[in-house]
Amino acid sequence: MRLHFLTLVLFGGVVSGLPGQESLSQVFNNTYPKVVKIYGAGGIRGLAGYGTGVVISADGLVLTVNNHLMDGGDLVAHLHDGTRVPVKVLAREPELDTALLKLGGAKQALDDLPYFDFEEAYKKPIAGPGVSVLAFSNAFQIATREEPVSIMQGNIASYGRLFGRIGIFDIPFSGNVYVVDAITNNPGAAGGALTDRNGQLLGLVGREVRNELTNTWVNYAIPVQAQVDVRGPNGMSRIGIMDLVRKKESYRPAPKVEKPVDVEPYTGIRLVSNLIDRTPPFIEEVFPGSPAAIAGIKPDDLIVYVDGIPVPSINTYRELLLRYKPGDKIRVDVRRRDQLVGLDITPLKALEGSKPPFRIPLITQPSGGRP
Amino acid sequence: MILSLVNTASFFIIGGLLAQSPIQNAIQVAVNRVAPSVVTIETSGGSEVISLGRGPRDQDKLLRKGLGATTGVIVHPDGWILSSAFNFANKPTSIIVSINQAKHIARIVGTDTTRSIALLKIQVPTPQVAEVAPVSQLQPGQTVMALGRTLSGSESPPSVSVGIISALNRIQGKAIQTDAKISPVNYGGPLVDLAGRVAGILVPLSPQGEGEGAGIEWYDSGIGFSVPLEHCLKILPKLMDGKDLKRGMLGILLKGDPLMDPPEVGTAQTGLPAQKAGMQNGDLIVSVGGNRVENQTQFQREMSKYYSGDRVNLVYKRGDKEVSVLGLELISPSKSQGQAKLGIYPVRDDVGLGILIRHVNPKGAADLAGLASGDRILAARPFMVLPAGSPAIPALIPPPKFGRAEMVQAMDRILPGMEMELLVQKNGQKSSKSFKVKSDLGEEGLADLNPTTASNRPIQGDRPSDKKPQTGLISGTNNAQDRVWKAFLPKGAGREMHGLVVWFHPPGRGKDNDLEEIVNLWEMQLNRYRLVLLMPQSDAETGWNVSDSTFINESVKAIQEMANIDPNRIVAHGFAQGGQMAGYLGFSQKGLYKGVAAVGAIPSNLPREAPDSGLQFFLSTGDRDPQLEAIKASQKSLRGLGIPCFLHGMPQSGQQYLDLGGLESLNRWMEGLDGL
Repeated sequence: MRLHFLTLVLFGGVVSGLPGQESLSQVFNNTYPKVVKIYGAGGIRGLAGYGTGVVISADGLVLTVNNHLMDGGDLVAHLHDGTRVPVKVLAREPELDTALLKLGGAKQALDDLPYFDFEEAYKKPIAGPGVSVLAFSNAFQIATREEPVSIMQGNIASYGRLFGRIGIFDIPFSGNVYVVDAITNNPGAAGGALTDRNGQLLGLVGREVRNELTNTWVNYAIPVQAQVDVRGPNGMSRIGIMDLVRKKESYRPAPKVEKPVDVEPYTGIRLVSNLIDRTPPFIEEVFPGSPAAIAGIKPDDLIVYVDGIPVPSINTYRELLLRYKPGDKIRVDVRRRDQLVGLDITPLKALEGSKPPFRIPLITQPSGGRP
Repeated sequence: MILSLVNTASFFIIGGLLAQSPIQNAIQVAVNRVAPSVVTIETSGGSEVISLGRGPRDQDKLLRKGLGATTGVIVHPDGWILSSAFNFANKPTSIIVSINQAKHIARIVGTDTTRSIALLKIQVPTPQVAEVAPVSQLQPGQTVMALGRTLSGSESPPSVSVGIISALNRIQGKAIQTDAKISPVNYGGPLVDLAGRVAGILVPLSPQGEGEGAGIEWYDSGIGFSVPLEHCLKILPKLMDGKDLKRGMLGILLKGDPLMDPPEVGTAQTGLPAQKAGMQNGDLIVSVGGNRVENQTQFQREMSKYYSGDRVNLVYKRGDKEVSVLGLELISPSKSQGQAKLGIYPVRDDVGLGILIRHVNPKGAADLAGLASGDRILAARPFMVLPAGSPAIPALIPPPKFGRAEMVQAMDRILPGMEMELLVQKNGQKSSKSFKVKSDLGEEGLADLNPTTASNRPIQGDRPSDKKPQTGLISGTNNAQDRVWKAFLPKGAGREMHGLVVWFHPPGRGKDNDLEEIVNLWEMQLNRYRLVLLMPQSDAETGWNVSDSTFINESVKAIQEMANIDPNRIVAHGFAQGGQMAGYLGFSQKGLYKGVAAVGAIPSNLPREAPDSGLQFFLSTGDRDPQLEAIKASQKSLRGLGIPCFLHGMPQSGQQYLDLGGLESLNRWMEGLDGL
């Protein structure tokens, strides 16, 4: 069950500030006008037709999340004062799950539009766990026209890669994210502002996603300093949101060279039959003279880590192994009775006729007994 | 190259910089202080889904278990780590604890099922023991942090959710409530005060249920629970001894409204501690362990401090008199008494007097008393020893009507260990025999029954009561005619008594040709063991729902009207999710099913107390089924509830349907279901 608990700190609410700190209502008044409500196509498959964006320049540059809203075109933004302006998508960066927009309309509509100083935010250090934060977004489309967006308060729970830690799950963004302990990621909240207690921009509120690690909903934000390494024509490059903002275009890697077939290199390990989604990677057989045999792997060993990455199932093991080339060194930790044994396998080229691993469907079917 | 996607953080993390408020600094100092005692726990294998027990509306709830790491807290320097039992509810194959990137194999040593706590042991010293915050020093409103390792490796700081203590002594006094976000992200981790001391271990808890996953539906809701570390340390020696701590029970049911009424005994169950100590219906409990209790809530709160095996002092009031009971030993919710069994099997379709014995279990209670096949039991009653000077008990005489149904009733009135008196006719001679009844938990294996000796019907000649159903593969619908069932009736299903197997197919395997395959596989056995096979069809791709019960009951009723069905041999049978449905129906349709046969499935929604119906279980698992451990554990918990459970293991198999040997075992098990 998903519960939406909104902590709405009301406009004008009295919160006593600490010495040297603005009161929460002052921070709210200064910050909410820098957030815009975005409207576009939606309603398909239960996806909201509205979202949120943060203004990052006087001339109306807006950052938001690169979600389904960007697909539709005909975007409209409602500014803090209720002004409605058309929105143009300047660039979409799938690698960062971010999109750069430009507010259009009459010039005077954007006069004195408040904005976050992105350059300054970018230079700030990453906020660690326990730092108090605020989230500004148009969650659930509660606010319309000139009504202020909703503000929630919470804390940074962690900073790091989320479900991408294992790198095998379906995730919109593979870099480090802030996870917060408030229920910030609601319909329409994506692209909202995550700020510190003083209204300094920390990141963009992310999408609504389930975390594969716990199978629960997770509330995350993409940091202003977000960076990912992507493979381009000249090898690996590191790109960040700042590149998107400065160049106003996405990093376009050359079309990916189709690898002939994704085949795992030859280790000489045969695992037990992969019957369900979570079959533990027990080793059934090690072929004599194979890389695994040379490394000292034995039948009945249970593979628990591959290069330090936990391997809860055969499916995870297979997907991890695809990342290695013949000749790479693979550090494998196996459980042998009550010992953890670390061994290095140097795999060979895949055997002729090897097929990509077959991923079995979730529901198993009776095999024995059924004629 | 493998880490090519990892973003090396080129920005360092704020630590007490800038315009941070004093409280934020305090939070970070406290977190850093406790972090070394918060460990990462990885598991592999185990089942995909876990049962959350029964919900408030009696529905069966299942949860898909996450793949990520979970959290534990070091509580003793010799490698002892506390965590939440929720983290291991899917019975993983392997558990590994990481401390500062060093990895250690761990095993679960003890659990507290009332509080979802598990104690792990690793084979290295763990000097970073968490400091305890005594409950007396905690108060609602104070700031606390919930720490977890799921979102961070063992080398980076744990994840933090900040909140306040919402209440102390919640859920019968078992838990500290907090509004910090508690979820699988931090179950097993600590709830920490601003001094960096651990107030409690974070767990899912629910006032309604006690399953390992009960309470998970409240995750991240602002209602979270932790078990005081102070309490955990008190029970630590017991957990270290490998105990599975369960609720301590007096063996009484209270009368009236649990919220409004005083703790007055409604029923003191025979043979259980309260009754043995002399307590009776109508007694009013006034104190538990020296603490006065005025209502049932207070009574439950006091009782929750005790576990089975503990001794408790009670004071109760009868009339105007207060009576003290000292050192009453509490039993577990399901004192494993098993079902009372004589070890005999009656001949079916018998029209003679009493019950004709078909087979006697070697070394069973009846065998030791000298009963043999061919004998007839003419009457039965529980044997009573009366105080000296009582009038003599009249001799046991055959009642006007005495058959299998009456015998089953007589057996229901006794518990294992009690004495039974039988009037037996052997070679024309009548004699009375008294002997102690044994307990059956399905540990003895299957009885050696020959199906050709089951029935006493002559081959020829119909009785007026015989039914003449259509035989072979037939189909029918429910009353609303929107659901379809198929059935296979062997020849003679209207004459001789037939057992009934209700088959619950796995999700997506309920098409006509799937069911025909099952019939082909079973047909020989159906004829041989005289069984009717009923196959309701699920219309949902995802499998069976609890709401299908009505349709299933209607289809069973239709078969009962059509054929001569033995009420003592009706079995719910299923594979995978169908097996879970079978288990669900076994418990929810009280008295209808005498057996549940679940293949490659973990029976869920086990009741808290032993059911009073004579339900028995047959479980089957492949030795390579990742659910193997969980299924074995189910057998243990079923037996713990006093339910006989036979486990059939299939070598060289994963999660798959019965092989031919398994099918034969299942049929033999069903053949013995009407054993007495």
